Amino acid sequence: MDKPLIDVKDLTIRFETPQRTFDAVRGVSFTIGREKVGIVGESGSGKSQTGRALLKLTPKVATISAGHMCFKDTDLLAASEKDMRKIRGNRISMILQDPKYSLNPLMRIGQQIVEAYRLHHRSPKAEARVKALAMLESVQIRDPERVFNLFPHEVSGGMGQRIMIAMMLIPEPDLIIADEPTSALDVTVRRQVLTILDELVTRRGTGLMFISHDLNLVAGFCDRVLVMYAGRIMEDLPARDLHKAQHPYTQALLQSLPRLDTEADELKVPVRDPSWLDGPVYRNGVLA
Amino acid sequence: MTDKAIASPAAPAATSHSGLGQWLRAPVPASPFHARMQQLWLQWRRLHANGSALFGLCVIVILLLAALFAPLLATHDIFEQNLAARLLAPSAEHWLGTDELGRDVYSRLLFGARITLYIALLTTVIVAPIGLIVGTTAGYLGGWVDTVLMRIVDVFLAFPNLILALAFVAALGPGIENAIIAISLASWPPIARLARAETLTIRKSDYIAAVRLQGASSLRIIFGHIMPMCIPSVVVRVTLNMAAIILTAAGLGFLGLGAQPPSPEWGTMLSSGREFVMTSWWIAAIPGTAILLTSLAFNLLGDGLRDILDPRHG
Amino acid sequence: MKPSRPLIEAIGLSISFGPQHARNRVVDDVSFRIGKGEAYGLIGESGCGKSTILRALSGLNGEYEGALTLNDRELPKKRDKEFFRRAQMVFQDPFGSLHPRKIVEKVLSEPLKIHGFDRHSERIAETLDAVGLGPSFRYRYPHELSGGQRQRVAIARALIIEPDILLLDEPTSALDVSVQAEILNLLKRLRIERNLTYLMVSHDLAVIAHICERAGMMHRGRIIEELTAGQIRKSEAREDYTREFLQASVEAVARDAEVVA
Repeated sequence: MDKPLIDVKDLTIRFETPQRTFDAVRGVSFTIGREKVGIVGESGSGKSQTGRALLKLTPKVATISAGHMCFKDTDLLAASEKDMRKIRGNRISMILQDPKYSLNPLMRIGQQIVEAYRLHHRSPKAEARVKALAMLESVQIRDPERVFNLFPHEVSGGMGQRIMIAMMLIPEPDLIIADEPTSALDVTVRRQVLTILDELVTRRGTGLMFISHDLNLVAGFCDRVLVMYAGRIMEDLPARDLHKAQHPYTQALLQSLPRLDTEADELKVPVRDPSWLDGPVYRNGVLA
Repeated sequence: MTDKAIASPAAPAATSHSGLGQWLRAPVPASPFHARMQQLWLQWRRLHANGSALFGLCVIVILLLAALFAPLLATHDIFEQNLAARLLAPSAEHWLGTDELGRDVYSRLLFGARITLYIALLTTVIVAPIGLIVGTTAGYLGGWVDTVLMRIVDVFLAFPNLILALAFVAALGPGIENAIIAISLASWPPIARLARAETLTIRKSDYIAAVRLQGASSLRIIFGHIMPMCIPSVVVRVTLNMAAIILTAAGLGFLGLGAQPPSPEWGTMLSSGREFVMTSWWIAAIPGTAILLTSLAFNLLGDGLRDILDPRHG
Repeated sequence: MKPSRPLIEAIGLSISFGPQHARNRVVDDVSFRIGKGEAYGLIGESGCGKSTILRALSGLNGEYEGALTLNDRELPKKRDKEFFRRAQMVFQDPFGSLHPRKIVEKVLSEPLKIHGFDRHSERIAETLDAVGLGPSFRYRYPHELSGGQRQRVAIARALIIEPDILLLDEPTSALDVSVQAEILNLLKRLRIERNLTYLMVSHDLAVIAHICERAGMMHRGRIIEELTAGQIRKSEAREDYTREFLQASVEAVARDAEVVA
């Protein structure tokens, strides 16, 4: 594989309030190529903050520091707010959990997609419209002409999320950051949305950073998994090797899920070992 | 995660300052009182960090002290007329000058603070519970109760505050007590509106559903569960309202419908000083400044309280 | 199931919302029986009517057609206090189901007062202990607790008046997996210790199969079929929709299973 899309070394995100200072992310290093990388962790593990840091969308009270944080040849640490605006949406786009909050409720869906396209491509409206309709079709919306003229509240959650995907993909970004994109969806709809996302991402060779709390989902969907705990990456391994996970935290997470294939009287509850906070981490099944 | 925590180490009977600080910061509260105090302490710290609210609080505290100790602080009798010393400019003898009847403005201002605070506090005591009860009851019960109560509120809201108060005072006759009743009648409806709007969101929440499922009566739910949630925003609203109440009271006094001369009410003082404003500015300017400062202080405190108490801003 | 009379029974339950001219039937002619001590699940996607059934049974929504019975006696639309003492509910969102301005002790003493129980202090201590929270949580405000701790308080609040039925509305779907495991273990243990009857609503098959013996698969307001936990585990379904749902849920788990095994 050639040069990765994202190369991060020793990323730390520090929150400072008058009451206390704490590091939400502590010295995280990873790379993302043109692949699907899952970032898994429980609430408070720093997974979402890591995703946001790449777009420099962390809250004002937080400071980002890192050895380096590069997107292709751009140094994100040194990039100005103006540079970031060119990157956001155009080269790196973000899909959030609930489409209800990410779509403008007062604007027709088609209009929003056209806008997203024209923001980054100077092209006549008619051409953008054709593009938008094609994009809606590619996320398997059966009647794109009709949906084009709907308002966001008139579509279901699953369709809303497909529309978000269409909107995020239309400027043809190099990387998509998806933060819990399917956790507001039902299981059957979830599968459909993931299939579409998978297909589009693979076909275009787009990198995908998939942030989720659902280990199962990520295991089935992604190429590589990063497991985060207390602001650190505990384990970095190919998704198919998840069963060979070395870190006790990863193992405990896997065992704590209720399962359909085996019946258990009691689920294993991870006992959090304080030594994990600064203990060894694993990469591809070996100590890193 | 293990939820079993260490036994409570906090000693409630701490007396020394560091002991008190520790008690307030103890990780595990040892009694309901302790827990409440810890919350209050946190809120106090947030208020402390808010400069303008602290300023407002200071002005109000000074005002309260002035009103409380007016007989000690005053330099002259406030009713004693001395026509030889009328319209004197501020001096060592009369710190803020004298008025058209030779009375000491500083002393009258101090006693005026009593009247102003009396009006503001008494109206609040009348208005807040009425607004709260009407609003929460209408919001929680809904249906025809809501319709009837809210139409009554609408009728009151249809008139401007001062006009309504004027009409009532005209009917009841001038005087401080009647002014208080009139102002109260005019200022409970906005509070009822606010409490109802809050209640409508609160009643849908799961914690209200949970008490309903415990078999609690409507009365218990309204008083025990909904009202505590409405109180912060009502407190904020009432504090902000105080400024308006003070202005209305002063306005009524100014129009001769509130406190009657020779009472040192600020509005009345302002009104009588009006004739001399070109020659003796202090007679009108000093009560005017007092009214301005007081309502500003209440406004600033109200804004600060909103940041501290309102759950949506917390 | 044994042919003994059920503890809870729904007969031809239908629930509609909306104005007269545009009635939307959310629950359509649903019937089910739950025996004493049994755990029954309702599975389905969002909007299938499963939570609506739970709210109707709990007494939060009295506008339904059909009958709900407890011990063979039809429940009045407006439930009495005795019903509330016997059936309690645990909500989905642990952040919304506790009063933000009441300390844990207050939350737990309220139902005791309503139902006239004695020994408040001892009962609170016992119940906190039963849900795995120590005495140190007694005087805490909800915002000082984590999601899992709040859900334990909510369970304690439901249990403190010693009901025999617990209505569970997706009690773990807002929690992290490790916390979910704790709460599921707790629910399973409490059911045995206190001989409780559960009606649990969830979209997660694995959770239902873990807690319940039987479950109704819901789709568009109807229970399209009933399955035992064993049938769920073996993916034995008659209806196409159930099969699709099972497959969508099993897929990820099975892939993972073959991996871990």
